Amino acid sequence: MADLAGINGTRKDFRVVGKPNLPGVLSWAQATGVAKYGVDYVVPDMLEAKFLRSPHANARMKSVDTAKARAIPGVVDIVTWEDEDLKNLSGGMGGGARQGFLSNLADQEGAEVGVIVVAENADICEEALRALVVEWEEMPFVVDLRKGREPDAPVIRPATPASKGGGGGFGMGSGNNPPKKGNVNYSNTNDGDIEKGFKEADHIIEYDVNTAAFSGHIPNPLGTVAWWFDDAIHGEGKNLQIEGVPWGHDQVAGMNRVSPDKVFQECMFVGGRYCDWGIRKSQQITPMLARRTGRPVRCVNNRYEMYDFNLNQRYVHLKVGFKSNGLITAIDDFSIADGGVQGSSNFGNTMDQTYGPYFTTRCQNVKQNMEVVDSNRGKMYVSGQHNPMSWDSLMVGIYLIAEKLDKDPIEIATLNLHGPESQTDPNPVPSYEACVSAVKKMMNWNWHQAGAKKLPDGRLHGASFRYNQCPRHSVSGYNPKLELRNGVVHLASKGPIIGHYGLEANAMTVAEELGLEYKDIRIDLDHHEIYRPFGGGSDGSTASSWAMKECANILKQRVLEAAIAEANNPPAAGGFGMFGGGKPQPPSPLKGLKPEDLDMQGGKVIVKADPSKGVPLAQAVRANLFATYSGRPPAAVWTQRGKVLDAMDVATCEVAVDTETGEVEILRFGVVADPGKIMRRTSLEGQIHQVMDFTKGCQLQEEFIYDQKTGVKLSTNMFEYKKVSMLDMPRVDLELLETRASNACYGGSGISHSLANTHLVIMAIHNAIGKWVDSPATPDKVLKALGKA
Amino acid sequence: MGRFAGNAGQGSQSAGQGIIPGSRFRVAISHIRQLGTGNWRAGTEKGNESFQPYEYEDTGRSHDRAFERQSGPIAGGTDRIGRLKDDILPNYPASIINIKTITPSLESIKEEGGLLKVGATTRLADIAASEAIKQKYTALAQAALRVATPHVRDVGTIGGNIAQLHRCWYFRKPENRFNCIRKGSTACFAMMGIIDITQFSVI
Repeated sequence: MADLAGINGTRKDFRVVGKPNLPGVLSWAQATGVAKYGVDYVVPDMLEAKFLRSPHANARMKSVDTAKARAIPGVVDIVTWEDEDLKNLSGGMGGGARQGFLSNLADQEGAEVGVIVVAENADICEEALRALVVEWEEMPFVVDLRKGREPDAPVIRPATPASKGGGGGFGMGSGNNPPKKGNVNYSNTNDGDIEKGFKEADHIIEYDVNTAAFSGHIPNPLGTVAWWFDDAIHGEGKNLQIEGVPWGHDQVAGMNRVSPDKVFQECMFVGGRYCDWGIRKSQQITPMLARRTGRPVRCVNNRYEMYDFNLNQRYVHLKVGFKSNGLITAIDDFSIADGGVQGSSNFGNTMDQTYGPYFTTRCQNVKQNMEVVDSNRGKMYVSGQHNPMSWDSLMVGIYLIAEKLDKDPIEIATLNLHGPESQTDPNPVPSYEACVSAVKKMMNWNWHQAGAKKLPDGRLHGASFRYNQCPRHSVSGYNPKLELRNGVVHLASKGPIIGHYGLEANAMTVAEELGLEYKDIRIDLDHHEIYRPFGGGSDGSTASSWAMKECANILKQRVLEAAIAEANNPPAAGGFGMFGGGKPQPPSPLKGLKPEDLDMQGGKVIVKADPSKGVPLAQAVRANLFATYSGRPPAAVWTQRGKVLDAMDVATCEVAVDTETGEVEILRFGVVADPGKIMRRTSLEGQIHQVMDFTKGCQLQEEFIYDQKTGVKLSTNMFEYKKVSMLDMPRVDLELLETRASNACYGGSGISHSLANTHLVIMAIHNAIGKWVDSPATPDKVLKALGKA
Repeated sequence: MGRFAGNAGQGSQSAGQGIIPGSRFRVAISHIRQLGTGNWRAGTEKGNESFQPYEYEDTGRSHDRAFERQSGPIAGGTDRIGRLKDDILPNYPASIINIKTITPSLESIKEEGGLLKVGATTRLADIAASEAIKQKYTALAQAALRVATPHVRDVGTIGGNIAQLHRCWYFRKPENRFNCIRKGSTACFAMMGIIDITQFSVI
């Protein structure tokens, strides 16, 4: 539960933390374009590199003739999978390296395969790639999961030891799973007595929910430029400079057999990404190519190469039993989920079973059977959009129960939500209650049955509701370091700046604890440092700030002790070398006091009993002080599968549906979120706007289209894949609460995934027209659902 | 450095080359930017040429000269540039004529004699924002507003919107991945019904 020990709970007044629009140095750099990203680096004599990309969904390169490509003026180097330099690269990170860094096998259309071309510029690279004469062996593929799970489906990937029985590793069910069969891995969990639960039910509903895949669209194309250089100060041997690899320097060092101490980076900005923690091959290959050519080499993915999944495809069939009052007694979830290409994350499929929605209800009879199907559809890197996306399979159920019983879905949700302590806790969850109360007021909530409300302009009105936990991981420990140097507090971090506001939240926390202004905290970025504010986005920000708060208080204690020591025994004042000395200083008002008599306020060390007596920090302490801390905040309740609850959030949606044209307009989203404690309000608001952008995109606009004959992705371009731009954003009404209910910094938590969803808009459309519409709900589909097309 | 100095987003030496990464297009657009008169100059390593007509007469002459070289016009470029960048076609025009700089301009919205006259190079964003069109030709304004994204509407023209090539997933796949009937082959992949439109429903 909420960590209210010490300063976490006792601090009531905040001067810095929670304030909007503080001019953060790092976010200012990103917002204004000052920040340099990996792709922005251009160095003299630089070469460009490009991978050959597979035109086939599943294929093997039998041979490649590079003669014509090599003959093109400007081509400097061509490396094939048979080259010893490639074979000698050791793995790399980001998954997918089971066949070595680059093989002659391609498991999705667009996959890097077989050949890398290095040339004087990107044009020549592409020309050379076109000149390659490749003999392909096309192999059967799976892009339709329902076909891929069939017994007679071609097996695209043999079973591995990890996939035989007991699940496929991290997050795979509760054990005793059947062995892999064909393309299907199994992950089964069973809680309570599902049969008993259905016998207790007065009603049983069954429904299908599809969570469609959608893309993340990292704004900055991923890529690196690398070169080797000599510098005796760093010892013998070549040093590697690489710009654009956001983390994983140790892996890059290992791949290229160079000490991490001899790897250097200036670029600390990586750009926004929504829990896509994957490193692409373009970010790893440049050191090897630079070593071969003796020149700097850049390799950058283009937009077509950046359509990785933010969420995998999943088909869910649910059977839910409930009492006449709407209380759920049994949940039977059967899911067919995309296992993706090799190296895909199992967040988005089996990991959802660990962080699913069902255990936030009082129902203890829950069965989940999941088939995870190997496919050639694409790849999801690391974290993706797990948790919130499976969440809507329950939210749709709550909506359906409400429809069936002619009740408000908020009433059904509230009835089923268990108390803070356990699934049998009868008490309300204060954070949830506060969120619901606020959102009802915000939306002027007045529920109606499907199809029952017409707007003055003739369109049909629909509304929807969902809730979620505010998440925070508990897996990350932190090692912050603070330094007082010449009166200025320095916060050292290895970065990088990935688009979330971790370091700025850290700096605000330090300023808060040390009685300083935010602008007074100097963030020093050096990738050889240890500390990074990761462990998630906003949840990592609040968790790392918890550790930073501890570190700040250690520094504060040392500052106060040093202030007393220097007041009692003043160091030589000012001056320079042997000519120093300066004027005698007046006696310090701190002289003779004890550290516990002092505090830090307004940039000064002050006397608690008389705050008017103070000494500016730079004068009070001339010593060079350090503070370090290693640890993590108390474990988050989020990891208990929803069986314990603290900080919550709710979201609503209002739509207007034109039954003549099929057009759906989102009138507004209404969001009330309780992140426990707001750290940096502007950033938090921006994060919530981002997830509502996702919400509109995946339900109204964005779509992956596959050609079933070739497995080729047809819609992966900026024209056909209709990402929601800033100007297309619907209205988002937002209210943020601070119940201090969670257990990261000052009772804070994250928002991260929890407001991203797949069915808030779809449910609202159903509430408007009484029909379910496929996602994305384009006008033609709406008209088809209405029987008009 | 290579034959074509500069790369995307790097503040390159040639204005045109600093905008769009890609292959043949980069060559073409850089010449469009560099040419200052109706004169044209031929010859890049890839054989692309560009023409910058400033008057109708020049347009005609340029086009006459260019015609035999399989020329093509460019205005907003939202369709043309995409085609060039992505190599969706088996063959490419040897020259491109910029019609945005024609004088008198084709970028205009006028009501004359009870008719609405919209110039071919009028931007879709301007049509969507035009009070006259919104009030009297509402469907046109709404249609313009629904095209693509704000960024595309800001540069895309109504002439280009009407004259654009087929917006078909197969036709538009880069590297001429599907050599379809519209490109001179015999197959229409879209007609073959092999697209996966994900089906789902609730209940």
